[in-house]
Amino acid sequence: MSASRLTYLVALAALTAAACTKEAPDAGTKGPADPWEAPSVTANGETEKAPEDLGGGTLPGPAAGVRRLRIDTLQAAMTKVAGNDVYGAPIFWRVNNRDGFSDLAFGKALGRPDYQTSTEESTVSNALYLKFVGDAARDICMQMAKNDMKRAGASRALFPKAPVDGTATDAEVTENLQYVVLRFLGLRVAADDAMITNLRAVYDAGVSSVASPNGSEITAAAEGWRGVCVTLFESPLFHND
Amino acid sequence: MKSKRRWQALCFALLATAPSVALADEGEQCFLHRELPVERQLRRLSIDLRGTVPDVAEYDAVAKLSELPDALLDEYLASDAFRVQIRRYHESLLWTNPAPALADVGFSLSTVNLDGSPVYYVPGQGKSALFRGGDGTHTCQNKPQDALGYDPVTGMPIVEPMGNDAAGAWSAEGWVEVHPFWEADPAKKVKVCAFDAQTTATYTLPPGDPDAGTHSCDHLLATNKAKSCGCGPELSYCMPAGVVQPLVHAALREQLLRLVDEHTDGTQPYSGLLTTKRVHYNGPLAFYFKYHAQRQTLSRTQNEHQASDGPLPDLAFTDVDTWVAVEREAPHAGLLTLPAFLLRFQTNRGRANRYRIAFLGQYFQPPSTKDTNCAKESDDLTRRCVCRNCHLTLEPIAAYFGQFTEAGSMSLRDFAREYPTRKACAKGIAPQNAGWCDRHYVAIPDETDPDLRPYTLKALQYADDEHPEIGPHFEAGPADLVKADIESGRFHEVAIEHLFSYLMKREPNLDPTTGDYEGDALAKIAADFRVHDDIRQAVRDLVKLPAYRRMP
Repeated sequence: MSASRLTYLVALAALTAAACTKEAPDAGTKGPADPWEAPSVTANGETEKAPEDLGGGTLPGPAAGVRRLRIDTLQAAMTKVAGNDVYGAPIFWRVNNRDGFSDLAFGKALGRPDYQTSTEESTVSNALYLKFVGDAARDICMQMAKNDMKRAGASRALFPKAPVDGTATDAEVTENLQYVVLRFLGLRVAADDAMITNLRAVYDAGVSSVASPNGSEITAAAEGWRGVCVTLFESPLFHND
Repeated sequence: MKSKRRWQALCFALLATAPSVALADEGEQCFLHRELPVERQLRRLSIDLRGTVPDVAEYDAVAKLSELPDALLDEYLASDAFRVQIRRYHESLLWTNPAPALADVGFSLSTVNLDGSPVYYVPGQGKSALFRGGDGTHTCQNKPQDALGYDPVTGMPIVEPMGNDAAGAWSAEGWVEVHPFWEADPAKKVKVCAFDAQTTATYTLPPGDPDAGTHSCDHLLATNKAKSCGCGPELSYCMPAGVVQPLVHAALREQLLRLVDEHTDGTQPYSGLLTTKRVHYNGPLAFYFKYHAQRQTLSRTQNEHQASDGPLPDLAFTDVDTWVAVEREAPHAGLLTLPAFLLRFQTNRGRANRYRIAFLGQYFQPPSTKDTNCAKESDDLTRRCVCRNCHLTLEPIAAYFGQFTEAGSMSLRDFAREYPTRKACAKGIAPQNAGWCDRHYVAIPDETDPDLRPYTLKALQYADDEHPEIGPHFEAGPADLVKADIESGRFHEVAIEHLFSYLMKREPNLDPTTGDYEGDALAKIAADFRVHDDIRQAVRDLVKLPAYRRMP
């Protein structure tokens, strides 16, 4: 094979490989001409590097869509995450001793279809949905915290990795934050992930919001975990499947 | 020559790199999208197939994996939680919530409080007037019937005169204690007015009466005819609506969902959901169809059990959790002829429309252009302006459901197709009843002699030369409609499209001019589905598509 042929082969193979790789293309890679040129000067006249994602290229492959959990699923998911109380009964959103997500409480108001007056479940998060989810989160999280106060160590649902008597180390708090992010959201994040940092701020705010000792059923640290619990239940990541 | 060699080299290079290009076209390796972390993949799968999220132990079990194992998918698909999810999926397609009124004052049971003790009676004024005279608003008196006795000739309760009301004199019997059919404990009894508690099964009208002969007490038309007819043994002919109706409504829904279970668990073909003759009954359903359905007034849903519905199992009303499968006959066709479908969609047009939406993915839309050369005022909707755009398609499909009464679930298979006159039509049932005729038949004026008005079943009103499909479709029944759509493959194609939308939370891209066209992938899954006819396998194929694992 002549040198010129090899040159062609190598060049073509390089072109194709650049178009289809696992990672986004390096901004510095010389490839085929971009379909359009990313602006290098912003509207206010400052020069900045264009984000890599605006560099053009092949459209992404199709993905699944985003949809809010159905009420049946939300009901089951919150109960599954909350676990059982100290008597072995599932923890659920209590409204006048009924499950708040049931049709006898707010199930229909939240949009569960009865196939008579409503035939399709809305899967958008409207104001009513957010309000009731907030109510459910605060109720369930308080139950979780109270039941965990009666348990010890790994049997706890909300704070199995960190004691709540004021002796928890930073490492224990971080480990428990990683644990609850996995339990609530199905995300395994590193200790230095921004999500952990932000949740730590929520935890600290909860701890400092009550005096310690305060004579209530839950300690200051448990109050901090309750705040984290509500935050995670209200996270969009919890409500998207 | 040099130029030719360059082109040869170019072609070779293209061939050599073709596989990677093909992968790129499938979106397999191209950038910008991100695969979900395996834990989020697990969460998505669990939510879709089990209706809830995984626990921490389940997340930990997949922690080191790059993708979810097939065994896990199999486990989810075999779980009871998946069965429930598939039920919900079909409920969203079929709107499974039949809730018609099943009782009427003519045979429902109410209670009157007599000195602190509830006493059951039938509140229908006609029946009460027949029993007690007066204006029909009176009940029995608070006295055991044993204290008054029974007529030695007729066997009916002896009454005492109570006075006069606006309609005249009235009298009243006492009460008796009866074990009612809805109580499982045979020792438990309730008080019932003695006339209403009569257990006679038949009544006889004397010669000279237009309906002379012996008739059943357990029928709508006995309501105001027979003084000797009460609520039968254990009050079986009558219904305390608050007790019976919720249980029957729930059972009607469960009856359909049991059929869904059978055809989605991998043991029966999925398409059998629309073709099977099998049906399940529990105690409340069997009891309702045995005693109550035929008592409903003609202005409400007609659900009388017919021979084509198969034999009713011998179950007590209290056998709520006992389900027995029986085989129906033609023209039944799977869930399309179950009461839960027929009572949820009460017109043949509504049934046909829901069938098109749920199983053919077809929706009617009003025309965007002016309709011309059409009849402005015709009663025939296949001719009427604007209406005809949809009804030309809808009416022939609706005719497939013609052998089932509208506003009811009753099979009309064994009904006469036509009566020559209104009088003959009214005699189609005994005792004769013109209301019954009007409920199921319609007069078709003869074009040459207006005095001739044969009465034909309503579904056959337009079965004439101008509508040649209606008659054959009526006789063929829904089984033929379903058969054509299953054989064409359309049924499986649409099922895959619906499942895709359910799992992917978006519509598939079926535009072949776009780069991320998904029609080919769906067509392959649908073709396989048509062969294996197993919805679990179809779900498995769909969740294994790369798109399912990707972040939007």
